[in-house]
Amino acid sequence: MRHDFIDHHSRPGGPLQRLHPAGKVWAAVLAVTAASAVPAPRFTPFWPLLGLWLAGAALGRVRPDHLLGKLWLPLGFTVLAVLPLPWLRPSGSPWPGWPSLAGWPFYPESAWLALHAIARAAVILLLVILLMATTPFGELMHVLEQGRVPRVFLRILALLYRYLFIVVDEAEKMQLAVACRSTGRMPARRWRRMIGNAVGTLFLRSLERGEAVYQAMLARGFAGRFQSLSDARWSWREVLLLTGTLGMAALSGWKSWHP
Amino acid sequence: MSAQTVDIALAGVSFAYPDGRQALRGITCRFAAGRCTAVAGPNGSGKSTLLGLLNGIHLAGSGEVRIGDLVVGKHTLEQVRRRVGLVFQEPDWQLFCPTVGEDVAFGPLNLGLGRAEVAERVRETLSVIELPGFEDRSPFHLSGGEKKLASLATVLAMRPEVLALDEPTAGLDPFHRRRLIDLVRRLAGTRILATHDLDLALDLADDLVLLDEGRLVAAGPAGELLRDRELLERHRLELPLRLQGDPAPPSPTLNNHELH
Repeated sequence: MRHDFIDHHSRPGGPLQRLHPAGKVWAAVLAVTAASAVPAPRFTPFWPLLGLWLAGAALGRVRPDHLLGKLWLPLGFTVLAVLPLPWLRPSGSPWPGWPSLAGWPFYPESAWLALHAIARAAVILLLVILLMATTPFGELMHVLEQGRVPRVFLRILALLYRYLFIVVDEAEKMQLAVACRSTGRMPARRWRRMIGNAVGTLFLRSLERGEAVYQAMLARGFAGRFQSLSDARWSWREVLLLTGTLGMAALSGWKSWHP
Repeated sequence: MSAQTVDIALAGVSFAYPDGRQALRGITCRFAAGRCTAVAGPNGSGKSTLLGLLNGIHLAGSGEVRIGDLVVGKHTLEQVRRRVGLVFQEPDWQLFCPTVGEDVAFGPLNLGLGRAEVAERVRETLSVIELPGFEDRSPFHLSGGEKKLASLATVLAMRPEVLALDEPTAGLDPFHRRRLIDLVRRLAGTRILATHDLDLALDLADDLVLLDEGRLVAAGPAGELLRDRELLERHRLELPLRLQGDPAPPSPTLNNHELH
């Protein structure tokens, strides 16, 4: 099974990767809380948090464009959710220079709110993506379990994570099987039918294999608890990370309330 | 590596899958402690299901499975899985961690062992199966033979008293096949192999249990049963190649137009 496209950078020995996973999780929680507390429509408080993210990427030796590449899909959902806001949420006076949407006027103040929501989501997602990319998934689950996150939630998360790899692996195999029996351009209608069938088969096969993998986990004594092999210990480095994060969160907070 | 040995007894065991397919019907047999037993039979005869019952992956619909004095049931699964190690036929099912080391460590960590001991077991087990230094390799990038050996390591690291292997030589080249056979031969403890590779059974097994359509059709010393041509052919198997003497004349070649 391939595991090299989510926590691809979790193993190489950058300073961030060597830190105790719990230290990284707490730092991420602090930064995410600070980002969530930024009042709309202020944007400058996000800069210290983006600086923190950039510093983290440098310490983890991860190229920012690699992390940005993972941002677009989840951010797309936020954009879709807030896109109608300037028309649907009356705030301040409408702007007549902007086209109305099915008779609904455009509110510039609501547009700023929508932009702020997108910016906040982007900062939070970037921080979470950095954490996930530089911490092995198993260790992340272990820390969350120790932090008393409900086990049912973690199990669902862990199974989804493994299922994702299985789907990709099966899709690659099926793509190969199709490619090696394709001798030319397929008529569009046949192609559409083939894709429809293939998607169904893909999920059935993935489900079956997912079940087999779960059985293999059970056969080796898995009882729902996440174990970690990490021998990382708390040291001054984790304290430094948390202090730095706290400093940036405080700066963000200060900028939120002192324009 | 497995120091202790244990007897396994099945008494009137039946099992049906949720879709209603009856996989095993009234199986009564015994796997003797410290011996190697082959469970043979054609495709779909219930071999893999039977192995699943030993580890508690499946629970018998009726009858009883005993591992030593332990009855396999919902409340004994943890102990059962400490005692019986199951290696699946497909290494891709068995290997699900990002590195071989983590995969081998998965079982020992679930046993509650300390990190130092787990790390030692990983190192030692990989050395025993002759994959030293593979700790940081991705299972995805191993060859088929290496994957199979790594799958075996994931279970050996738990030091089970009973080792159950499902089609251990399927898809292996002669070199890896020989390596695996030598390795299983060297292991102590009760070993159970589900296979239709009867040459493997002849090489390794002391005893043989023959299944067909979910029923037990014969059980006894492997050396005797594997020479019973009539019994084997009746159940869609054939004598091990090594006992066949002159190979049968080849079937006539099919032309392409005969395929259409």
